[in-house]
Amino acid sequence: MKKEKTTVYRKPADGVFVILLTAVLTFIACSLLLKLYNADLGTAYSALIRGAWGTKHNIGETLSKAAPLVLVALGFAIGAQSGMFNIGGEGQMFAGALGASLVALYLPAETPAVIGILLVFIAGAVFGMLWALPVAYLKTKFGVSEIVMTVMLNEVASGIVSYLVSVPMKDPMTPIHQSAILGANFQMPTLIKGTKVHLGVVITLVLVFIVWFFMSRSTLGYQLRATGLSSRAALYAGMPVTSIMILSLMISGGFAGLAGAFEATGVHYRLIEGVTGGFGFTAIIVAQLGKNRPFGIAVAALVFASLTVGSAAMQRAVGTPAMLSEMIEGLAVMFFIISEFAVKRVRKEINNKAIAKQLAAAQKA
Amino acid sequence: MENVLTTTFVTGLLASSFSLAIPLLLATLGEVFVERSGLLNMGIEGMILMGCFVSYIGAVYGGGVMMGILASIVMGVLIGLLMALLTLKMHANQSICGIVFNFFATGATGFFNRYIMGVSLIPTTVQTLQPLPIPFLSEIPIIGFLFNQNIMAYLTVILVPIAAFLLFRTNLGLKIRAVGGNAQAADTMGIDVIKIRSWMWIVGAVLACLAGAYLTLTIGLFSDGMSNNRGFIAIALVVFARWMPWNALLGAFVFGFADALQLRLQALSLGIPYQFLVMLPYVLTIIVLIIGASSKYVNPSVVAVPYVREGKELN
Repeated sequence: MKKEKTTVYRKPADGVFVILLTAVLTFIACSLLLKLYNADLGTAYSALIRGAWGTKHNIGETLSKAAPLVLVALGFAIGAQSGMFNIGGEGQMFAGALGASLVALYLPAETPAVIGILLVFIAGAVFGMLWALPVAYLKTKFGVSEIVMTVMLNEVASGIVSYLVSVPMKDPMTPIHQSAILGANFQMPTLIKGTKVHLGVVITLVLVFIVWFFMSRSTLGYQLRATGLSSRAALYAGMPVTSIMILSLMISGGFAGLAGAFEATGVHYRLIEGVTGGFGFTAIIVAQLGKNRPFGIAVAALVFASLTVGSAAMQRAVGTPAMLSEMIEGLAVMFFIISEFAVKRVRKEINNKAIAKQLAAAQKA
Repeated sequence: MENVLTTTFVTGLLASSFSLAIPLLLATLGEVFVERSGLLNMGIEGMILMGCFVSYIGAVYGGGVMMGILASIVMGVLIGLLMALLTLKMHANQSICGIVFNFFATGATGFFNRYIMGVSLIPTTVQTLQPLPIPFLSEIPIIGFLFNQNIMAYLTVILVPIAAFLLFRTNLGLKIRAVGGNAQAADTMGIDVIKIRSWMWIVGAVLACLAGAYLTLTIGLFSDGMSNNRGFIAIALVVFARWMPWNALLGAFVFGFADALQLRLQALSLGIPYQFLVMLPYVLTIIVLIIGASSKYVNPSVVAVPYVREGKELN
């Protein structure tokens, strides 16, 4: 029998179908929920969009909310690509925020701003990395589940910060549990007046490109992905699998730590109990929606940040509770999983039919 | 310190430890089953919250405690089916699905609570579970509180030997552990891995929802985020208990004790920061993880590894 060229392949358009299907399902669900409140859909959605992107201030708000999501999600993706599942973004953010705050509070206030910001940057990343280090060590040495370990360390980090800001580092001038205002030369400068867009947002954007280059164009990125696909195969190929896994989890922690440092020095200007803003967890589902790819993550983070910021405006306009955004975010990811499955199924059916047709044609000939 | 350690104080502390331990124990027993079958439920937090909410609504509109409990069981079954669909049928990542469910639950309970109950300063309270004292036994000093519990607490404690028996003395238990230990081998032996795991999702979700129901039906009302990290403590507890139901009973009491002590320390201001007691369960779990790891103890910790039959493409 002569060899036929098979036409079984996955069309690149499938990804677009998945996104479209997810968007449609989410839109329908959101509209139904809004209808429960008898909200006028036009008013509600225009409030949502204007709330997130309508004015300079709102755009700044959305961008500054997206930045930590992007950072933690990039970190999560780097870990996940090498098979290390870092649920500890929240804890590493706390660690990073703490590191940055320690630098900003206890180094001489007259440190030049350039050095101050550089130190904040380094302290945030290093503290995040150190908080991830024991997890990486225990995972590679003893096979302790990094998922369970990071969940535990999240709570420990949150407890430590909560204690520090309520006793030793507490600002004596205020009754609230928070540190003193961080030194001015250690704060991330605001780049656009009247908005919350600080230096960290731009650094985040640059990091998106760097991570893309690192993951898809560098040797280490390749080794990282190879380890994630099959650590055994990577080992046979002579890659230092253990070091790669430890490194990827530490980079992952470093990114989250950086996000924490930016939140403390660019948004709150203090170390506070809720400095992470829950971004550590949201970022994990952002990474999932972005398929662990840098640009996908950036887009998903913008969508989630818009939803969070916009839903507050929607609450003012049509009176729906702001919790709607959390529910929609959860639903969107579930729809995404279902859409991916459905599209894959349909594609398989089409392929199977194509093969059957070819076989039939071949038999006839 | 002497005036603190009175009999009333100790009895009160133990009694509230016990009542704080019950929801933890329920959720933990569920998670023991889930992890024994090789799954990992990161969504317990959200499931407890859902249980809190539906039992509240059930109790408000169904007119009583029983409807509340029933509602939480039904919700648990639905959630279990959803998780089974997403993770077993569609091969989505278990941890991600759990975290996503936490988000959904936080949003959904807040949203629908406002929609159904409206926004009011004084929330509607529901009937609470009444204590059923066992004659004579409940009169014993200090530990008498153990025999003056509500029906859910009694049943939860009875569930411990049942769970232990089921897991270690029955054919079904062997199957569950086989699926968690080596899914491929279990499949070769003719055990339906997906079916067992689906059931374990349902068991885990129902017990987590019941934990929520217990919270609501002892306090008598629902408030946003009232699960208050108990789901994550349950994940910690499972490790702490080394996946054993009896240890879970002990662990739940220890963690409940830490919680009760923490609440009292905040009031007493003895100089011990309460944050350290809040952290205690997690720190203990980390220690157990490290000791367990270095002692070459075999964990059923292939948790969260999806099972795909050979020859089938992983999505």
